[in-house]
Amino acid sequence: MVVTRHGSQVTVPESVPRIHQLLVRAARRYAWLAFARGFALAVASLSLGLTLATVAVNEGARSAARLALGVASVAAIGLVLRRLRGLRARIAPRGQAEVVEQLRPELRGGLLTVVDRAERPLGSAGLFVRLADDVSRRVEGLRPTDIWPGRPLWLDSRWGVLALALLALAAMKLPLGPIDALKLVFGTQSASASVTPVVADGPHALLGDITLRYEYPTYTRLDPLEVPNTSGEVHAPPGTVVRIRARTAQAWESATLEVSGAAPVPAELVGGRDVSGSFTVGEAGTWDFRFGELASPSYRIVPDPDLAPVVAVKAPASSRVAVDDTLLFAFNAKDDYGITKVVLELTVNGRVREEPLRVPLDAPRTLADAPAVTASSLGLHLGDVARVRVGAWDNDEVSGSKVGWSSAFTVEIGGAGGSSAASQKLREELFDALVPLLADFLVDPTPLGETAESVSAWSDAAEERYVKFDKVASAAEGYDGRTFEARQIDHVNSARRDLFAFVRGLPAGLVAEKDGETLARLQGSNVRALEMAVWSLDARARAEAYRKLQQLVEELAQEAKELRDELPNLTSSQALARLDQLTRLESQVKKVASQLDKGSIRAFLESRGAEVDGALAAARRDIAAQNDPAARADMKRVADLLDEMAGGVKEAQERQQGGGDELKKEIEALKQELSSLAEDQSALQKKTDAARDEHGQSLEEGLAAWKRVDASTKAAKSAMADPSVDKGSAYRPYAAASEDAKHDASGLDDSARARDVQTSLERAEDLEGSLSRARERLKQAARTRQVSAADAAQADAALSKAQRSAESARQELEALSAAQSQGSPELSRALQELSKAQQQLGERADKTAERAKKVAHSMPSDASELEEATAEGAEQAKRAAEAMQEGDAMGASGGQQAAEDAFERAQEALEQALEDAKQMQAGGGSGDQSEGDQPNEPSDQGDQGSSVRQEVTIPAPEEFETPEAYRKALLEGMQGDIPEAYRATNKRYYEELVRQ
Amino acid sequence: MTLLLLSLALAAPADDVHTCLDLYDLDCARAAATHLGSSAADLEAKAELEFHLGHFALARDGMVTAAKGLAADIEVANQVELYQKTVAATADFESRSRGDVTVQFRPGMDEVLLDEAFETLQAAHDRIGPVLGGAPPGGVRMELYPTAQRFIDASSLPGAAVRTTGVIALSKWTRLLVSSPRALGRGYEWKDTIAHEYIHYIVAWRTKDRAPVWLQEGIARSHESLWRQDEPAALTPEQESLLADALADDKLVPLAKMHPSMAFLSSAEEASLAFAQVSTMIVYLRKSSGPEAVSKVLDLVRGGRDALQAVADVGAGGDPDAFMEGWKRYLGTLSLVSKKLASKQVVLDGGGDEFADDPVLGDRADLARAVRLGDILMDHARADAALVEYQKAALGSDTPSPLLTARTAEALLKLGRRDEARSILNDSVHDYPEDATTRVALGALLLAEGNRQGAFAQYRAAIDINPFDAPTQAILGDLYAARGDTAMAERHHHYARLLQSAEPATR
Repeated sequence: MVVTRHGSQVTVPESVPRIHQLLVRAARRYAWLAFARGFALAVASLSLGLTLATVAVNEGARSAARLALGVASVAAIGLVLRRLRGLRARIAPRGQAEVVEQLRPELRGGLLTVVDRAERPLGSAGLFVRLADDVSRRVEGLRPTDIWPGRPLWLDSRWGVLALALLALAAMKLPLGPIDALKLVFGTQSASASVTPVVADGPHALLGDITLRYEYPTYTRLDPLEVPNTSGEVHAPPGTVVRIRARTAQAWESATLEVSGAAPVPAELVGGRDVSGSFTVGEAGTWDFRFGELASPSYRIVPDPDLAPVVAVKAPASSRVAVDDTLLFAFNAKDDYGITKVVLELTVNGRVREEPLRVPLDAPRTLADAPAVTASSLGLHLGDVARVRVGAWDNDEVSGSKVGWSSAFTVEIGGAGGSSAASQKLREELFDALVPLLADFLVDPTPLGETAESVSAWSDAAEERYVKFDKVASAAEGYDGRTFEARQIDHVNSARRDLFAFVRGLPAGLVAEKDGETLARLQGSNVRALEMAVWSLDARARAEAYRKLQQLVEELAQEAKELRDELPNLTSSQALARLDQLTRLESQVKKVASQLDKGSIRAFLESRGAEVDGALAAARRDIAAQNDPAARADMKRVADLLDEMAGGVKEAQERQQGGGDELKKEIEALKQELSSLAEDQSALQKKTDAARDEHGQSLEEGLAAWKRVDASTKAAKSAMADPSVDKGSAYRPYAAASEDAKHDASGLDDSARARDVQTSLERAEDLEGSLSRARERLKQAARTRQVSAADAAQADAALSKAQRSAESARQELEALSAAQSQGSPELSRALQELSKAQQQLGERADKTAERAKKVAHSMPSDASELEEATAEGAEQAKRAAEAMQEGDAMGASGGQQAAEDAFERAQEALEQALEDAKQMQAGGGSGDQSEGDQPNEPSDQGDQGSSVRQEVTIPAPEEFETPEAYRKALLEGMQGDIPEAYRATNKRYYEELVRQ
Repeated sequence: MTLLLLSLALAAPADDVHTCLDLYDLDCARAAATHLGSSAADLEAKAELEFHLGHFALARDGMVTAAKGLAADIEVANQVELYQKTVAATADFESRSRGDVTVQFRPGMDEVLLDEAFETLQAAHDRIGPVLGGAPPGGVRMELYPTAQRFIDASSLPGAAVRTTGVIALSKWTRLLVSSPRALGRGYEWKDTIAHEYIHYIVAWRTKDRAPVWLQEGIARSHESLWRQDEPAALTPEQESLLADALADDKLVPLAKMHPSMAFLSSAEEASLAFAQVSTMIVYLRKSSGPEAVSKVLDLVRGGRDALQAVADVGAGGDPDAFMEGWKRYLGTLSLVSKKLASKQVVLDGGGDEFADDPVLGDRADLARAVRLGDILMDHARADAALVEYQKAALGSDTPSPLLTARTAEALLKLGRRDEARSILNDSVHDYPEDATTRVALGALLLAEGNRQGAFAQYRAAIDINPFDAPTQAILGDLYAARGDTAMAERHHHYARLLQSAEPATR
């Protein structure tokens, strides 16, 4: 290639233009990048400035906003200039060549030489050609993006994106957005919220600031709602009163309100422009104000319909129940505003009828229940096939009550004996399975083993003992969980789970003392559960035997009396036939009597039975000899003996059922005394709290301090509940230590909730100790690589968090403890005075505890909880008195609360024991006979139905006098978040269970 | 006597009868009755006499007739009601007499009581009567009521009082009213009881019914065993314990509180303490002044002397305080052992489960539950586990339970731990000698060991408490046979058969 330069011809190698072209393209890219980067930084700066300005404007600092915008603008310009600085030099070929030389050091200045020589040809052309070719070859494949990569632009763009995001956030969150801010800064808008523009709808009267106040119908129980600045459209259920306030654009002299074309009604006009009126929502339509000839725009009225309740039912699509059985179903009804009644619709043989299920007092929006209604109580009979569905009626007082129906299910009614016989069989099988189980556990050694391994081996063998029981229990799975049998199974399984779960969690090696104690307790609980199950089943069987016996003996006595009276009119063979009938009945009595225990009633029956036998034999002989007077005397004797038998059985049965009138009186007195103690204790606690408020240690301060303690203890408990804590559990020593820490955290939480400073303090210290141990063991596990470093780190983080919380709780508790010991003299005096009453209450509680002990010892069911709770109540009441003597108001209050809780728990335990006793005696119930329940067929007798009827049920609200009473009862009942472990402060057993 | 005869000579015949009956003198009443006419008052007196003589239907009919001629009177109405109830309670009774004794009873099982009832009362008549200065003329009449309810109906005692205190026998209207041991689940020491009631009759007759209850009971309780032995019965361990505690706590039952009847004391335990007090007072009197002292006291009381003063006159030179002090000193010499023992529960007419009449388990449903579980385990051939339950129950009370002991012994025997079984049974028999179940258990153990003498003693004692246990009667018959006493062997074998068949016996 030949070029002419400055009048002389110079040969330029062909490779030079290629090189030049590359450099030009690189220069262009550089220029583009420089501008882009400058723009990005400018955007970032301006956005940031605008964001700050927006914040400032929202804060009312308009000058700050200006400053922010100014600084941002200057910064933006500066940043752009900075990016463009040296652009001219950089975009020159030599500038680009320098960059390429830096990028490709192997050019060794060749490129610069080529660029320079191309501008000013010098020296050997041949060498220049060779050099140019060499450089061209070396830069071949090099692209502008290699020389000027895009990354710096991306880096600068990030600032822009970030600043824009902040700006967007400010726009969304702040009342005044960036545009408003700019307008304000530059003086185009005043600082006020946007207002609804006045409706200016052509020929209509202008109306604005429309405020709607909705006053809903009473039945909806919705609070009135006021909506300002609305569009005027009304949405409300029918019956709602809508009150409208609005402002007109000009003053008027009069106004009316017209709703859906009805005759206008006067509207109120104040000051000529403030207009108001009201109407009641009915059908869909419109409303408008009228100002003489001119009307406002029309606004829509949209009624929200009150829909019928939705009812869901849980029941087998088709089932068969005995006539005395409970229908197994549960329903859940929901309505927009309230449910007034729930009914059961039964369709039998085409006839439809309804039976009421619930009539709630306060029309709840949701109503769920599993009613225990028997087929017989619904008027269903053997052989009936009923189509059943549940209906709920709403409380719509405007449109009228509407009903919603569940899906239907079918129930076929069988004889009473069916399921009762099955239940009896199940009880017998359970009894047979449980007795050897109990025997095996009773003779287990205590302790079960010295090491976790030996205990585990025992556990493996012990689990095998349940095979028969499990088989029976699995056959019972279809039974209603509320039945007597199902509860026995549940109790046994519950204690079993606790025991074996604890055994599985034992750390390897020697069983720690604390674990050993827990194990022994759980072993005891397991045995106790088995004992109660066996005993309950046995008691039930005996009660049934008594009931059968009673029926049989009474029938026998009646037969004997009739035979005695009719004897003169009977032939010998007739009389002998009747005697045979009596003998058969008597043999049934003997059979049933043999099912009783060996006690006095059995001896009594055997003794009287033998005499009856003798008298019957004599009667038979005298009848055969046609010696009527003697035979009548014999029959009188038989009748008398049977009367005696009936009387004895009746008395024995009464004794079995309730321990006699004396016990009933004792129980009644105990109930009243426990109730009175709880009330009195509550009143005393209020006085204590009032004294504390008046003379120092204010309740608020105390509560605030306790709230802080609560927060810390909950944080500690929560940290310990974190799954990461268990990540080191592969290492047994850590697992044991972390379990201890969990247990301590739980215990701390419980005692804190009981507001017991000293115990809480001890627990907090315990927790700190156990956490330290756990962390130490965790480190050890990580060191020995038994736990991965990552797992150990995560577990340690949770433990560390728990430790900080425990420390915080301890410090708060120490402060609380100190505050208590520094009570004012006035407080001490007040507490001293109150302590006398508290002391008296404690003494009363002591006597009640004695009574409770006596009752517990006399009750056929397990009433140990009654005895324990009452004793604990007495102890806590006395502890409270001591705390009062020492001037410790918080401790006194805590003790009083614990005492009250214990008394309430004792009442519940008493009720439970009574209910259990009733369940055990269910076989000896009222004796009412259902269909198919023939006294002459003992094997078919039973009362599955009655057991269900006697279930503990939560009373329906309507069974209370007022909804308030129900709510109160519910609230009291629902205070389940009681410090369960605290009630057994001296027993860590419950806490151990919590550990499971 | 002269005054009595003089007053009788001046009084109306009906009054004469009443006066004689009030004095427990049936011969006198019979003599006076010969002068009765047909007036309503005379008919009433005659009816009352028939009632005392045990002719209840006659008495009732007479009283009903008399009532028609008498002014409306609540007492007469009550009499009619009582007589009617007694007729109903004894409607199917038969009467048997031997020597000075007449027994009315219901044919059937109660026949097992007859022989020994006659023997006991005759022995009491022959041995105790002289000690007390003589027995009433005309012999003794006793009714054996097959149930407690019949006894309550015939005795006019409130049912609640009977059930509280366990008073199931009574001496009244010159008769002995006694509940059959069958009325209590496991029997009671019925022989000493009928002797006891007979003593009341004697004392009432001897003192013209002027002896207060405490003296009556003291003499009866201390002398009730004299029909079978020469010395007054020792206190039972329970009474010993009650007395020791009452002395230590200064909680003796005041003599006045024992009036008008022990049946009205607040509990069976308090009644037992009262019996122990008055019994030891009389024993002290005998020891300090000789066996004839009691008769002297009766003479003084008959003469109108205050009972305590009479006792003091005979036993302490006329100083009642000195007598009471002396009695307390005497108690100090008895080395009374205070061991926590419980009184047997009163369960009448089969009205309870197997634990109801146990002194401990009757009140402790929680412990009874453990025992029942033990029984269930025994039935399932798991004596080892049953023993654990029994031991749990034993740990639940400071007071030993005889029934629990018997069950524990049974389990121990099943496990081959014979020595332990024997030891606890011996202790239990000592603590509760009146418990037949324990005695039978111990008797069986001794018999199995070849100790026939020991076994005989236990079975004999058991039958004296509960004669209605057919197997025990049979074993006792065997033991008598082994001893060569064929008559007694035959008697008890007969009882065993009777109890199994229960046809009215015609031996």
